[in-house]
Amino acid sequence: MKLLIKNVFLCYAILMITACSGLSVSSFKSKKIVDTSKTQQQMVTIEDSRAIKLQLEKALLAVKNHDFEAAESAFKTMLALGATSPVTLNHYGIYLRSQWRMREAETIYLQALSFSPYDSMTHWNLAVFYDLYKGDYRQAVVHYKAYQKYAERPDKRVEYWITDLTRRVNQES
Amino acid sequence: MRYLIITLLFLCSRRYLRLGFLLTVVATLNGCSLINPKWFDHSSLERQVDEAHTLGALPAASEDFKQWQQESVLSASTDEKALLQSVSIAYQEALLLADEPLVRQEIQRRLAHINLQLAEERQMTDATTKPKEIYQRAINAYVDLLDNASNQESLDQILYPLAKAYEMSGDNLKALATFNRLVSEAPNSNYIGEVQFRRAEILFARAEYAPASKAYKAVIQHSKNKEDNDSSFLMNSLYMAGWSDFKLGHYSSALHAFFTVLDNHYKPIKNENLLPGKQALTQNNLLNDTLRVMGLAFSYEAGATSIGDMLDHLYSDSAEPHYVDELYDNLADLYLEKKRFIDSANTFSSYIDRYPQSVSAPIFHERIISVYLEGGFPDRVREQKIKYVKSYNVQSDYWTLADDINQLMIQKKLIVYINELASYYHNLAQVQQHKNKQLSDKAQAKKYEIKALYKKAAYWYEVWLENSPYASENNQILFLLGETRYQSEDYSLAIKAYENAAYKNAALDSSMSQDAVRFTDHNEAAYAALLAYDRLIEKQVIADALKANKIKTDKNKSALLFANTFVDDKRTNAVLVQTAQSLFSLNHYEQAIEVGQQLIGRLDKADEHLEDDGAVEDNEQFLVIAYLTIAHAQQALQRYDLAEQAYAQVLTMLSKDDNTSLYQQYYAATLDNYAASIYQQGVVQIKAEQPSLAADSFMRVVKLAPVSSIRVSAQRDAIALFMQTQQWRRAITAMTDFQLNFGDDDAAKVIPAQLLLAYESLKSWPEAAAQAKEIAKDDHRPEVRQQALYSAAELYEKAGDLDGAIESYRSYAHSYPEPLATNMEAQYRLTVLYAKLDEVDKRGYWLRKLIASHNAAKPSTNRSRYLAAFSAIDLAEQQLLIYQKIILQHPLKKSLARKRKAMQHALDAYYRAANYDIEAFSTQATYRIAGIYAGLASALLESERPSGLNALELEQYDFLLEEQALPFEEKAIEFYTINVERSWQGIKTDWIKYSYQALAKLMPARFDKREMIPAEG
Repeated sequence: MKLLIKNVFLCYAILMITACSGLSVSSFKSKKIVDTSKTQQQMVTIEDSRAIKLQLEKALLAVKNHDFEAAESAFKTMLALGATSPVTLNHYGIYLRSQWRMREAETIYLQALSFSPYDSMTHWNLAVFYDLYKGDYRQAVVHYKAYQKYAERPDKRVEYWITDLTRRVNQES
Repeated sequence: MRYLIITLLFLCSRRYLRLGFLLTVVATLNGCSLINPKWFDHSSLERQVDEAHTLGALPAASEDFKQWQQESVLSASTDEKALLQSVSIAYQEALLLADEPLVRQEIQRRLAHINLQLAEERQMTDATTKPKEIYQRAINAYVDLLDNASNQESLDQILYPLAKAYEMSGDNLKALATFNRLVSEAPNSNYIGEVQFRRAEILFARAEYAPASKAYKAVIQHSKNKEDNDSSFLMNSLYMAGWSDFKLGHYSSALHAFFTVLDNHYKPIKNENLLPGKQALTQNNLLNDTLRVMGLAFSYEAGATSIGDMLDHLYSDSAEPHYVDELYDNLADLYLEKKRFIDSANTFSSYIDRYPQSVSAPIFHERIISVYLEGGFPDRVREQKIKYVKSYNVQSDYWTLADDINQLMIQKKLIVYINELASYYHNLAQVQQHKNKQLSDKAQAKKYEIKALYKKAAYWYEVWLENSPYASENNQILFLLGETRYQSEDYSLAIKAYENAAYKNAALDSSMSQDAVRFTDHNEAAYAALLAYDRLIEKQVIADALKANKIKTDKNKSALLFANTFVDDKRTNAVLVQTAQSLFSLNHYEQAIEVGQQLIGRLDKADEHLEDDGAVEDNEQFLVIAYLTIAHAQQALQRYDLAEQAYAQVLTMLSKDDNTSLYQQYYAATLDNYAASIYQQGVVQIKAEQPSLAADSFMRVVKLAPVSSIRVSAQRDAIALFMQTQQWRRAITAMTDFQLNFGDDDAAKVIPAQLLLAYESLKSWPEAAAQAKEIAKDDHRPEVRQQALYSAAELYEKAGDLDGAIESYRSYAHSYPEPLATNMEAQYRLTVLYAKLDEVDKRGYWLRKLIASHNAAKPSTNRSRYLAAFSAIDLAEQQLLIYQKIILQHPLKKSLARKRKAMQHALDAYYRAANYDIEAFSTQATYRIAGIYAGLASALLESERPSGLNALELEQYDFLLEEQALPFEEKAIEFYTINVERSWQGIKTDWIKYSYQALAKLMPARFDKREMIPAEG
């Protein structure tokens, strides 16, 4: 229900932004942003509630203290409270990967992407996940490219990685 | 003109017949009859007869007659004699003057009569002159008249007085001849009846019975013709005709005559009772004599049967004479006089058979009994008493029809006879029983016979009660009935009788007057009933236990009645004790408790007054049993705390002196029960899920009844509960005590294991280890010993006693090859422990042993494979250390060769480890292999450079080293990558993480990629 309200709220925000697009477009045009929709999306970064953030802080502190049980509990509470932001979900995805819980980590990353499909960080982390920890070079390439696309600045290393991985994909096929 | 006729009938005597005499005087004077009542004084005559034992002893009839004559004469008037003499003189003078023959004849006839009369008067007063002389003048006068008689029609007027004068003078022959002449020449004479009678009398006296009988019967016939039934001659003729026939042996004819005599004399009166004629008959000697002679006649015939036959012959059923009782009675008396007792009794019996409802029947029955008694026939006496009771008891038809007076009369006899019969059989049974005891155990038949006698006695006591239901002796009789029923083993009936005697009429007895027969043994009867109950129970228990229980219940009721009724009876306490025990045995626990408490109350009061040691001792025993019964009952009712209190009471009493028989008898069992009552409290607490309380109860048994039989169980159960409730220290204390005291008990065998568990639970590892080692050493079960040894090793390990742990593991590993898994675990633990002690060689031994064990295992298991892999990797690590310790130094070739050799050993070891395909060790081995290659590459690159090389040479040397190192580096990357790819299959180990890290260093462009950490968080 909360999710539905949030989506409604999101649509309302987009409409409002679109309504004010004249002013915004003019300001972004100066930055050579060619993709209007991308620019619009970047502007609606999701933020979680204070309560969720508190749970995140709690989880991260527990991880730092190697109290993985408490960390797990806080992360779960965070999700239950309706965490949707890339920040919280990527923290959780990284935690799960570090615990070698690969299937769950992938799910959380993809969940983050579903809420924030243009979040470059999430694409980066998913790309690294597929590249190193799943050996799925194709997906890795997709997400590295997405990162390059949605990141504020494309990364040269990533360009190399895309090339290397593409070659490997080709070798495999 | 006065006519005086005196007839003297003689006294008749006959041999063997004691017969009374008959004296009849009939006097007729001018139409008036005078009968001297003294002649028929029945009482004086009977007295004489009764006092006379023989006929000869009887008084002579003539004496009586003479006495009468004298008295008559004395009373005669002197004037009358003078008148007769003057008339005689006048007639003599007239004769002298008379000429007419008829006148003279009449005067002579009257003179003859006067002479006869004067002779008769003279005979009365003159005892000295012979009768013949006295009557001679009269006889002569009549003979003269007869000789000169001209008128044949009045011949009888001369013949009759002549015959009389002959007879009076004692000349019976001439008298008879004169009478005969009269009968033949003047058969129609008015005197003919008397004449025939006189003839018959003379003939009878001369023993000419046939003509006598004929003459008598002529008189009878004459009377019938004249319808003169009142004639005195008729009665006497009938009587004498009977006698004549009797003398001739014509008994039937004689009896017929006698019946007629009796019938004529006895006229039934309306509404008279059943014995109307008795008194009348017995007042009449003629009738008495008739009855006696009839008795004789019947006795010569068929006895009593003849009486019946004659009655049947002469009378219809409804018209039988009322004097038949006398016939039977006289016949019976006759027999009795002759000591023919059985005939006498049979005569009475015949009467009873013929007239069962007669009033005389019970009287005659008494006579039968008297006759047999007199005759000395005790069996027949008893038999007849029985018959009497059966015939006339209160249930009999006779009794129902009898009136109150007769019932009263009969009841008196009934009671006497029944009492005698009961006493007889009772006494006989007792005598027989006594004899039987003296002869020890005789045949069963004898016992049976005794029982039968007691049954008979009992029967008669019952009959007594039935026939005299309200008698004051009833309770006594009931008691005797109980005694006999008891002896005949009819215990149910005995009980009923005893209880009736004891309780039913108790009030009656107390209210009786002092003169009455009072029964005072109510308590004895009541107690006897209890004894009978016991016997009945003994019998019934074998036959039918269920019925026996019913009887026991009845007995208990009776016993309580006894106790409450006879409070002061000295047996009451014993009765209550037995009752309480019985109630308990019947599961009537509440009642058992109640009775037990009642007894205790009594005994508490009694103790204050007792001085007799024996009584004190008994009471102590009763008290013990009372408390015990209460305790048992409370126990059965599951009121164990109350049971405990009661048992404790008993133990306290018994403990005062352990030398008493009471102590010997009851203490041990009571202690056991006491312990059981406490133990049961524990059981209840377990059911109530109060295990701690239950354990406390069980330990109370141990403490309070340490020598009880249940103590061992209690302590064992307490231990179990301590264990269950994790009261480890109390469990250990209890178990240690148990081991100490009952080491040989089977239950002690499990104690070590329980102690082990307790110590383990307390984390008392040294004690636990020691306990486990004990088990491993001592337990009789091999599998337990094996298990314990392994546990001991583990516990030593927990206790930090590494040497102890190693010793146990080693012992286990050597001793128990099977199961392989455990054996290999022991080996594994040894490798771990030796590692802690840095015992490398010993550890190496067990590592290799682990591998060998796995290889030899058929089949191997995952665990064995794991441990083999573990060992292999460990051994590989040792090889790695060796390899790592070799430093490449100049001359490089030599050191490199050594290092490569060591490397190869290490690689081989890791390959072997990797081959077990255990993720943890395969990834480790892969990582190590990669590391060896990477290390070798680094070592080559960092190896010592030869001295003296210039820059170019040094560059070329470095280049050569890089060429040498590159293949190793590639090998390293290859193996690290293997691990990374394993992670993609879902495998996760630290070695994989390390592999990632290594690759990140070796191939940073490819692997040094990290997640982007969100800025916020």
